[in-house]
Amino acid sequence: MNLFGFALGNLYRRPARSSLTIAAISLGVASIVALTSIAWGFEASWQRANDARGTDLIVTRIASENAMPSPFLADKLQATLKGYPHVQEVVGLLSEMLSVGDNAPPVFVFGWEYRSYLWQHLRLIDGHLPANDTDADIVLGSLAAELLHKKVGDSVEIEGRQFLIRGIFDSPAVVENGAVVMTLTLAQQITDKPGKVNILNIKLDDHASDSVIDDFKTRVRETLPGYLAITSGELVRKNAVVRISKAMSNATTLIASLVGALVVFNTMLMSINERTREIGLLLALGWQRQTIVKLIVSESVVLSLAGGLAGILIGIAIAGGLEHVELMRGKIEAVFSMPFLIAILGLSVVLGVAGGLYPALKAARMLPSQALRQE
Amino acid sequence: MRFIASAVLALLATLAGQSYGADGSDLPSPAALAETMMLARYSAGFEARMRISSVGPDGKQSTPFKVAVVGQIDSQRERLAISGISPPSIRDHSYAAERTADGRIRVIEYGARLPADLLEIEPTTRVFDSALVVWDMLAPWWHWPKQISGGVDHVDGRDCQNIRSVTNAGTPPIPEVVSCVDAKTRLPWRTQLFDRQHILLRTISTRRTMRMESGAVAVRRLTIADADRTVTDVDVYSGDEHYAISAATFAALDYAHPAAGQAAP
Amino acid sequence: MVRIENVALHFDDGKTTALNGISATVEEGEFVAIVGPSGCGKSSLLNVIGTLERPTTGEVYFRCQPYSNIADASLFRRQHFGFIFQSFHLIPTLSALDNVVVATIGCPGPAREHTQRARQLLAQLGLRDRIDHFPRTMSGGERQRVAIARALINNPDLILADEPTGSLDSVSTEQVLGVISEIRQQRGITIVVVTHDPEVSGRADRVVSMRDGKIEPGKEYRQ
Repeated sequence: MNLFGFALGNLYRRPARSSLTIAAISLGVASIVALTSIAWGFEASWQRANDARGTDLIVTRIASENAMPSPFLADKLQATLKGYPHVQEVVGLLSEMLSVGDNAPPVFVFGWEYRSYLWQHLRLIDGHLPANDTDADIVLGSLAAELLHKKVGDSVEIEGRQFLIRGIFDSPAVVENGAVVMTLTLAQQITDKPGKVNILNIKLDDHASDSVIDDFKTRVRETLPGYLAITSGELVRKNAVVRISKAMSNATTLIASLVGALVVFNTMLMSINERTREIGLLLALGWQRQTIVKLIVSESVVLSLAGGLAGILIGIAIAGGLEHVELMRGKIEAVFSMPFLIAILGLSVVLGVAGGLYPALKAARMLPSQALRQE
Repeated sequence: MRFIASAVLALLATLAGQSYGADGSDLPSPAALAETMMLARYSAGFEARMRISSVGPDGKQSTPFKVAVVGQIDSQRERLAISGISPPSIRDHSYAAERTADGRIRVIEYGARLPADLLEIEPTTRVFDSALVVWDMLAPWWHWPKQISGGVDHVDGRDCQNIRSVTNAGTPPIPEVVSCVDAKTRLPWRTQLFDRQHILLRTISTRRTMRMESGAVAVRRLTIADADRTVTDVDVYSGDEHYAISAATFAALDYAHPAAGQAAP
Repeated sequence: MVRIENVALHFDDGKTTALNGISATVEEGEFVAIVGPSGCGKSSLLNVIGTLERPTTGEVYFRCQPYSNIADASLFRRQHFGFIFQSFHLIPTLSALDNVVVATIGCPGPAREHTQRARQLLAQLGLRDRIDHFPRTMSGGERQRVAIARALINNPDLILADEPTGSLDSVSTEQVLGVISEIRQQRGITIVVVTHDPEVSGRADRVVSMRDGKIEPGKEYRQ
């Protein structure tokens, strides 16, 4: 038996307390893992949506700190941007969150300029794309079709108007898979936003370098007040909901860490109070004070590491489960990264040390003779 | 996504503490606050799309419906156009309302589904027989000269200032309104409407808010509790802060003014 | 081996006096028994010798090294002393073997070697078949023998035993006394025992009598 074996044995011999402590830590870690993976997944999904479409830059209105970009009139701006160097296409997009049919959860409705490059990356699994700009035809993402229980040939009501489902598609971006797509003209009509878009998608030619992108951004900033040009990654990061969900995950990490450390602290403090005579004995037998500290800290690190591992598994299960909840399907996608999960384990170790240190030092400071006299 | 966003906005709205000085000594005067509330409504053109559902005193849920509300509000006049979106029974059925600078309120009901093309109706008409009342939407009480402070109150954990708006001019359908308003966000957290016998007719409560592109805070969701215990939920799901008002938007108001209950020419 | 010079031990800010100016010596290889009525300070003296208590005044020397110069009392204890307690003080959740091995944690050398030595000790003390048993399934005598093995595992120079037979029946007492005598013969370890038991004090080389925190003059005798 060595020190670590003794520490493990101590935890094993108090199964109820050890289990409760591990459970408490694992819940905190699970919430960190689930929230963070969803926040990242949301960001990644929007990023993938833009990457999949082949958009190099986005021009949108400068939003106030907590708002989504509001719709704006596109025609003059579009004409101006088309004149910029290396610009191949400028394509408008209108997106709204609307309820489709009765009693269905709201879904993303995208309006894309008819016959623009935005449609090219969609992989049709049934039917076809809208045949013209004005007929009341839509296509559904595969997830949206499943959510709405609809197939090609069915009709749906959106904002008081009937639409015919012409096709069902698959997209690399989960946010598009859960969406309804129609032509921009139709989207503008049903939302009463004639000529308006949220975003202008800019496709540059093959000779566009990073400096071309930077020049484009500068030109928009200097000549088009109230608008900004950003890459899709920057747009996603500026997105208020992305920022809020990241802030929530950061806040959860902080709170869960504090709670985790407190749980470990409380457990170890109770443990050493109950083991006063045992610790006094170990000191009497010649255990050095730093060995006592190592023992207690080892126990607390094992508890928090076990909680961390369990929490990671539970968090992955929660995030995966949420993806399949009907309200969330097609809207969220959890993203896990190995460095992040390793960092979570590292955090668990830190929690263990932080929570166990004071109890360990308190135990090591005991007077053996007094401790041995305890009942 | 919306669920997360809604949950997050609700959380932020709950956490965002709005507090006044402990002794209320730094509160604005009721008249100043009423003017602030008036100015907060000004818009060159906006559209808000709402989903309305209600639960009766017997627990029965009504069929939800959606409307689009377009508005133009300035110091000279206020105009609103309310159009049915869905279900089909309310499509092509609209209301147009205006409040002129002299305080007069007119409401016109029109649409392909009506027997007459245009019909002037009472301002207290309920939109599509719901708890949504055109008169309430114009909030005329902010223009009344008599605004009385009711001290600091708490609504759903938020601090706000009570303002009692009273009028004796003419025979208004509702002569007394008590609002609990947040001077910082310029939002009414609660609005209570009383009849001449000081009987509470209905209470409008702001449940959720959202921040607009301009930075202003607007109502995202509210409930209307009627005296008969019907509770109506109004959820703003889409909108446009810069709606382009056209000549056709309020055309129904530009016809001659027939007497109430009679068709317009 | 041990020299105690005018040691006093007070508790509760001087309200209680356990030792009142004691001076004594213990020679290398001696078996000394300390006797006296309850509360006379016998255990306190043992604790001071074993560095479990720090004297309020006075000094203790071990092989001419003053205790006040010891930087790490725990390490010093491990290197030189072995303790045997009246109530055994075995860890109930560890087996007999692990109760002995636990005293070696933190010592240099591989854990494997310490475990092997523990097995040998327990076998020598007649507990070969009990090494995996827990204290609750052992008799008093067996438990005390485990405690003795624990006290011996680090090859101490001095064994300090506080009422080692106080909780035992006569048979177990005889067994334990036999073990202690054997250890003394084989290893020549110095032993200081606090006891009420004349069976134990009868085996000592020297008996020291205490009363009221002091060694009674004229009542120390050799056997």
